[in-house]
Amino acid sequence: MPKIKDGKKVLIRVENLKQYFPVKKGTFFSPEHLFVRANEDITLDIYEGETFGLVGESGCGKSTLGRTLLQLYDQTDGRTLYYGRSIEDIAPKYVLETYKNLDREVKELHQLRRKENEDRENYEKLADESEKYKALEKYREIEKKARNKYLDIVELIGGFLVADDFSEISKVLTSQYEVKIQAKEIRDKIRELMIKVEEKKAKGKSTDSDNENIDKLRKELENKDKIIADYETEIINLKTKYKDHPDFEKYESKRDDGINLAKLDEEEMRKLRKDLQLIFQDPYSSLNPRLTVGQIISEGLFAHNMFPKNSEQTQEYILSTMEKCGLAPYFVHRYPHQFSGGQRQRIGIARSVALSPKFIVCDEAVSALDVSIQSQIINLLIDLKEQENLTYLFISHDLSVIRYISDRVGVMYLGNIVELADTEEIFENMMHPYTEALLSAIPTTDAEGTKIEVLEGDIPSPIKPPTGCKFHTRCKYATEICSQVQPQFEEARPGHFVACHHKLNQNN
Amino acid sequence: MALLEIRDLHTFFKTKRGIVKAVNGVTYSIDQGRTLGLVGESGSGKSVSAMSIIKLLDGNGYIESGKIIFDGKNLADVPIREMTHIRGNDISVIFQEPMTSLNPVFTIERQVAEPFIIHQKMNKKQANKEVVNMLSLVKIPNPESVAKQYPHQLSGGMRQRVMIAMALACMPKLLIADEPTTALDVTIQAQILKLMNDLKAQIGTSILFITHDLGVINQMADDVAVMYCGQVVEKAPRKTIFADISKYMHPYTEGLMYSIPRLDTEKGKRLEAIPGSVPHPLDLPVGCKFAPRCKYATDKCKNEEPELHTVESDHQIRCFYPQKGVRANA
Repeated sequence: MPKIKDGKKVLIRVENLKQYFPVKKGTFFSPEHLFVRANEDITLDIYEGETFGLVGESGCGKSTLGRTLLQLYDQTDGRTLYYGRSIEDIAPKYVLETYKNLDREVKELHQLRRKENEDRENYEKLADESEKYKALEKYREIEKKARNKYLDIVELIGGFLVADDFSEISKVLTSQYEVKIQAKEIRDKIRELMIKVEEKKAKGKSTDSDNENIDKLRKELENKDKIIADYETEIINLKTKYKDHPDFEKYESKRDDGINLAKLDEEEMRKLRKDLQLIFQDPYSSLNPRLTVGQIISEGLFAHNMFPKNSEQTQEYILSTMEKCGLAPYFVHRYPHQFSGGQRQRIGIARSVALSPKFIVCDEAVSALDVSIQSQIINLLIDLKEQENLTYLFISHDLSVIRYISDRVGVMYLGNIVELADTEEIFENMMHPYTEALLSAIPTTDAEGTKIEVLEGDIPSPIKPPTGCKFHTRCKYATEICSQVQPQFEEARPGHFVACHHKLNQNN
Repeated sequence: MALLEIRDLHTFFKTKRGIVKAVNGVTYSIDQGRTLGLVGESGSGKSVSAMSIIKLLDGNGYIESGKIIFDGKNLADVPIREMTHIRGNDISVIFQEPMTSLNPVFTIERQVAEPFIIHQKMNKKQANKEVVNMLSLVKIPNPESVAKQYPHQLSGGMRQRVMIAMALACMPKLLIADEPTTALDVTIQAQILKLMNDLKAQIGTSILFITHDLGVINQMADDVAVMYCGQVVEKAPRKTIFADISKYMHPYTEGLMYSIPRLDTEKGKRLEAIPGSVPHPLDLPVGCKFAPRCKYATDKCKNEEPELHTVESDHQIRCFYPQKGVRANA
């Protein structure tokens, strides 16, 4: 069941995502361990079929966010849920671990909750201003931790969370899940064999033994499905025991079958890469110079067992993908160096789209291109999105492009999303001073030549970012509180999120 | 009188596969105290035409013909040796990459002091004092300590400020700014553009401003020249180029204006992309260079090359059909 919010399906949900890169280990004399805080506490939903624009200056962490979503970096903290597939489809191991150790997990949750309460009481007792601010930050930190732990558990077990003794629940859930994993392995095997059959057919070899194997596996799979169903009835029966508990419904409604990408192991993630693709900025360095266009596009198709090698069908598919991306069929045997920048970018796009992905991160996909080529590629991306039902995370520093292509926009500054809203809303009624400054810094082609407003100062270092609101060092509206307390990222108007103590355009 | 006048300049490069005509008959001029904006895509010859002025060409490049009259003197005839008296003194350059155009092994002080020592024959002590003055002129905070630092210790915006300080050291008559803000973030770009405009008002230097960003041109230039394939295709005052009501416009300029999304582009409206890409410099089309990509092109355009001709006072266009709305296939 995909998550629905305001009538729109969520495809990717990010909660309190953190991405730190270590730069210097602590020593005996300076025990501080330094990190580049590239992403800090990022929370956002990306809906199916939308283009989410991410804008900010260099070093604000927008590319890091794109890559962390795709788990190209090891996510430091937080949750990244993907709703394009069900948990059964992938059968990740982290779910099994949670089922197995349910007892311990819930105990940890209770501990965190106790700590949270202590910290809150401690914070409320304090009178002194700056001490109180510090306690507030500490309390918020632990609160986030507790909430994430709670969600990790409740999403998988729902109403069972009301139980006192988890041994029985844990046993049933674990046993059922183990069978689910086996079933998933059989499904993978069948797919692999079917591709093999196609390949052998193309070569004119006999496929009888493979066909037999497939039949055998199919029967086995039926068996497994039956066992899973049996366990399901057992689970439903077990649930009736807890149904009358006052909190049961509340917990049960929190059940969620999003896949937490941050907890997948490498192999599980590799399988999902088919769904989650990336288009790079630099079309020169992102293509292997030793492969032909055909090889570049087909590499992924074979790696994910989508098509048999050396067959008509595969060749046709590659050519049709090329055509969709505006590449002539006779390009198929050419090498990347024979193309111009715009065409190379088309090859990169074809490589991604060939896998029929659900979600594509476009990381400055048009920034390196000449102006007259940019618009060709933007048009192509928009066409493909409609034809293939894609969802984009479009990363760019160019506000005009972002405004043109995006449905919603997030503005980043020094690792945080400071404002997020529908495109029109954010450009007409921006609430964050940084968004305002960014917009007024863009030179326009208006004949009157609008006056540019200059934001003074440089972007601070992400290793030791300013305390409180990170923008306060350059903000003309900043006051005492801005340098002390980090503003919460809150919904100031429906669908319009902003993190600022002094929001602009509040009354519009 | 114009401070700089380029007349029918041809700058070629010898390559193994033939002669690349990077600048092929370019004419433009800059008046005292004004800014000429040079726009075009990569490969249009805008940088090469500017580097021809101070003869900073690669080894295989040479000025084939044409005149570069600067302050009454034809620079095309001046030998390279004598150019060193002009470079950094009368004419100086700000490059695109502040990272690579500063020497990483010398302090800021030593690099900015160079023009003072060479051209104005100052001693080190005097020069270093001037360096601090220059650094504070370009609004660098703590100029004394920045002077002792190395380029890698500064941010991109600060490095570009240092480049500007160095370029303005001898109060040149002409400043060539080759994409000076392209590598910078928008908020930093706004700072640098403002600084350049303020300094121009203060010092009265003429600027040749090269960029591919029409918005930046609109912010900086008094006059605009649009280049394509080594030629100027349109030349006019900034106000004429950017006015929506203007009667005449080159199809390429029109394409540039409407193909990129602007902040006021209607959502969902398809971008009118210019089809195809810039032709290879060794394989230029016979007629109008833009004809293969032009939606208005006729047979005449494909066979004959149009001249740059005046359509209105101070507005020149290289096109057979310069009037908007009355073009062949419109």
